[in-house]
Amino acid sequence: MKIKIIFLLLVIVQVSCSKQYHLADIQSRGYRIEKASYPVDVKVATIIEPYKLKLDETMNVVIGYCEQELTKGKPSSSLTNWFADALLDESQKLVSDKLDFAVQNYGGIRVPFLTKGDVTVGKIYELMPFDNIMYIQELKGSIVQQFFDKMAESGGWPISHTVSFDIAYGKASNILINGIPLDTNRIYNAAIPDYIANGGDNMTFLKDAKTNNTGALLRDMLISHVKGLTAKGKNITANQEKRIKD
Amino acid sequence: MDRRTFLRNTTYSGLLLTTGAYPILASSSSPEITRLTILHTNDVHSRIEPFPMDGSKNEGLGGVAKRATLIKRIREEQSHVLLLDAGDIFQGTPYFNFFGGELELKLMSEMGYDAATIGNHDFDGGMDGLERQLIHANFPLLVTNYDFENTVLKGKTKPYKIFVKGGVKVGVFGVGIELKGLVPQSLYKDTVYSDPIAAAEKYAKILRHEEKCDYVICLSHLGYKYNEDKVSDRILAQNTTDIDLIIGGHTHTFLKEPERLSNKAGKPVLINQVGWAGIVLGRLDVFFERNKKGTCISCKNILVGAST
Repeated sequence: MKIKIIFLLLVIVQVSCSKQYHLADIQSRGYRIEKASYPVDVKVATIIEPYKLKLDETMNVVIGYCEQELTKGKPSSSLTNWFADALLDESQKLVSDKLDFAVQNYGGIRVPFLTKGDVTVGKIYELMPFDNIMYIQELKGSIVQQFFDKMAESGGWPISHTVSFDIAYGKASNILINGIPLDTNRIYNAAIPDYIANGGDNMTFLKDAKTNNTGALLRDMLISHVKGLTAKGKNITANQEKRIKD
Repeated sequence: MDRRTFLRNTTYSGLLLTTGAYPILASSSSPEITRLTILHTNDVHSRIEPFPMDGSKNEGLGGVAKRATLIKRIREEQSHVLLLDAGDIFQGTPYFNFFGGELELKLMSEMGYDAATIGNHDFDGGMDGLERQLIHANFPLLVTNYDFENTVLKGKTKPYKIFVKGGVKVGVFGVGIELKGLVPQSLYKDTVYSDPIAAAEKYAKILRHEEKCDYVICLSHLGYKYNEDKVSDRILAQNTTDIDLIIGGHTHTFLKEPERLSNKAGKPVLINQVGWAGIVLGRLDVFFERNKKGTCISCKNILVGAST
């Protein structure tokens, strides 16, 4: 692919005796680095090599199998559904109180697909490169409403199967948690990554909630989840359920 | 062959064969033309190796070792090259999780990057993490609107750097995105963010008028544009006076070609951004004519048509 465009730029004409530079022209193009585009630079490859060997040992370990491609999208998608459900399952193993839901920020899922086939440790790293830790927060129903409104405003976030709501005029309506309408006076137990619980993505109202730090890395929870499925003879499957509707 | 194409071909075949300063047309008043080649990346996100061959949309794309070859080839053809990055060098592959950004900076140094700005994810290893890795970079991190006075990065970044390429003075400075609400404070600590437009206006003015730069480049990690009311490269371009080119990042926008906008004084500003992950290397060739007359001869001769 070759993009080349040419601009003619206006030049301010100044009367001067000294030599000066005028912007005469600009051309631009982009080089797409395709698989067979350029040979590798040997010097650079040599620098990478020892790092790569060290990484590959860990990253190429296959921990599970994905039956069909999971894709990331808004308001709900197979990848965001799987991600949030895995976090709910794994978080529940860490605490005795019954959890009502789990949430992940949309931008925190870093690849748009989990492809069909073997799932390696490296894949999970790409999905969740951040060293985010899972927090359990006690949220009043009114705060949950505010939280879901913010999610609705940005078009929908990954949320566990225990929740459904509609996006109406940029707000969350018809919120059901475990099949029961949201009670603004009740306290809900939610599994929320530290990034959001600490007010990230402008969820500042979560900062004051009662919080329990599980100390578990989200990435490790996902890895355990996939390993757990494999141990039970199960694969990762796509769940297209529209938990959030717009 | 129509006349426009003919003009372009004759002009550029001449330009492409030579490097440095050379006459553009054989005439008694031949101006000297200097070509500055600007190569740029943004949001490479630790994509050291190409995307894996796993059937995904980006499979096989990118990879530092191939980009290095491409850059070397361009350097063989061109004398005056600037290689720049608009931030988010870190985070996105296990290379960052395991080695903290060391390899990313080593490779950029090897490829001869001249400068980069700081993206929000470059704070992901914390202030100490970033400070610790800087030893692996032989190029400066440029940023004008982060005050690191009360952090370990104090004195370790610069607001701008001036490069002289074939006689042309090029000023490069950086602006970063608001960290609050985007990066946990535990990572950026006591870094103080200030208005990027005010900082850009101030430093572009210094570069243009005090340092007498012929060309002013802003490395920006603000993002190309937003639907909501939030400062972006487009807003920056239209609200400042002395920037010629904004090399952007953050929004992972693949611009097919640079966007041209008018600045506060009605002069042109270009914005470019090349997606993310090192999938595309951006290139702009800027031609400067030098003469005594205060008029530009080649400016009217290089009347060119559509892209090829």
